[in-house]
Amino acid sequence: MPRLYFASIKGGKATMSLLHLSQRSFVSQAWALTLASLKTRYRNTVSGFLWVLLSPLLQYGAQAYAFYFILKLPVDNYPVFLLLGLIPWIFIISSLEMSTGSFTNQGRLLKSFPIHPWVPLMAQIADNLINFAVVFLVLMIPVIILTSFQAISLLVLPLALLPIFVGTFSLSLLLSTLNVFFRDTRFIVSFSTSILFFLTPVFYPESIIPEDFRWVPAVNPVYYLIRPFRELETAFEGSQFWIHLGEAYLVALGLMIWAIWYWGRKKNELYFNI
Amino acid sequence: MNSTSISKVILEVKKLNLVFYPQTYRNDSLRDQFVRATQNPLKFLLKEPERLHVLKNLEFSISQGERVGLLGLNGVGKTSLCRAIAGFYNPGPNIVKVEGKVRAIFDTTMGIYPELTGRENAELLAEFMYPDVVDRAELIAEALEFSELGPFLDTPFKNYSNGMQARLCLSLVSARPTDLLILDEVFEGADLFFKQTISQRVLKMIHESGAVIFVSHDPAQVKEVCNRVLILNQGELVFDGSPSAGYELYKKMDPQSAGQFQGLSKNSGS
Repeated sequence: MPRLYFASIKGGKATMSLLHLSQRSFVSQAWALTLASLKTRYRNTVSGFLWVLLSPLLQYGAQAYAFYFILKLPVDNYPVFLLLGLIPWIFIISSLEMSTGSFTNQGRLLKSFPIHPWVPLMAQIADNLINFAVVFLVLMIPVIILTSFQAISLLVLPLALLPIFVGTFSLSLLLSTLNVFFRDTRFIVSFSTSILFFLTPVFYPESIIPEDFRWVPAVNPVYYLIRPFRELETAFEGSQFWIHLGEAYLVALGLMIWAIWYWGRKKNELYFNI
Repeated sequence: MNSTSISKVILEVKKLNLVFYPQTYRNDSLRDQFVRATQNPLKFLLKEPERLHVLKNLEFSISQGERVGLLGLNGVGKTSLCRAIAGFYNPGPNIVKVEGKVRAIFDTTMGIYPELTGRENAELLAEFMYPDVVDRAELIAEALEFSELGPFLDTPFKNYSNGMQARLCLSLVSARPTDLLILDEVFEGADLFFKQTISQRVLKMIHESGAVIFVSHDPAQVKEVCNRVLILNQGELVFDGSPSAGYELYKKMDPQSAGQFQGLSKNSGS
């Protein structure tokens, strides 16, 4: 009986050794695909990059109208509060929805050339991150002018961007790998995100959640990634920003370890199932 | 082994086995299911997944200067073998050993972003095919010129015919020598004239350095391009020898009986 291939790689390495790609090439390829993706997305559109701004702006406007003017949620400076939670939320959720089908949708591409499967996935998240950063900074302009928000707080923005990027990429890797073997994943993600929106303190503060339900945001990894943004305003005023930032890094690291572990178990079966 | 001068070993494959568990969707009737359940109740209840043993204990090596034609009927494991060599799968230490760099292409009608122009897709393709090349701009310019696509280079890749797409990809993949080049049924879309042109270019590249694995369903083309032939049948290596002997053997393969040979024994050409 010959030695079976899959028996020999059980628990195989979960590294970038697949397709023998150096980390420098990985970054270079992901960046080239990110630029191409940005170029492709808006090439034949009339308003081009305006669409990037328009969609979150409309969501922001509608939610500010509903929760600030109609429901009158008891939060100081609510427009800023909502902005700092909603824009990172949109980045995470849109990335998860777009990338869950990444491996299955790009099956032909992945099988045609020796492209590391993480490269298109990374490019997708990086593309969303660039859009997110631009939207965030553009929307912050009126906030800085019209409110008491201290522009100097934006200096720590890159520190909050890293865990949200790593955490979102890890979740995307996990879900897109899962989707190769369980095609229901795409549909589950689609309806779960709308439920998660109400369970995550994005448009309401954590402080109004009754004591009995405080565990709900406590077990929500997405909330941990968003929380540093929520407290950007008070980053230099001895608030809990730094503690929440540390928690965000820990959550991102945990998600990364989980995603890489699952990827390592499944990567050899990937090409046969996409 | 063939009689060509053997120098540096570029690829060494030892006891390569590839097993997949395919998903099957059968439209069994209730009667069929009942029969299977009564024949073997344990197996029916446990539903052990079907196993597909794609490559069976393959062992061979390829040396510098060898142009190896890989022949076999559909589904015998040619592409799986090439993917294993190209690094798509990780079979474990010392099972597939490559000395140097592998460049592989499995579909020449694939644009990375079909919405982008041929030129833009070529730039992206070059990023993936030549990650370590310094003069990439020069390489792309030369490959685009060789493709003879002229003004079409600045039109969307999605509007190209299969032949035009193949021209672009093949021009790029053969732009620089590499240690091991894998071409899996890549000439299928290209027109006859370009096939000859690209064959000459690939031959020139091989003479400069490295080796090639050339997968094709056209034994005459393999005979013309290659100096060694491997034939796979049902996941096993059944022939390793000269192109002329391989050509004769392949012609005798009987597709009706899943690639059984007519009157020839295993490894007859070695």
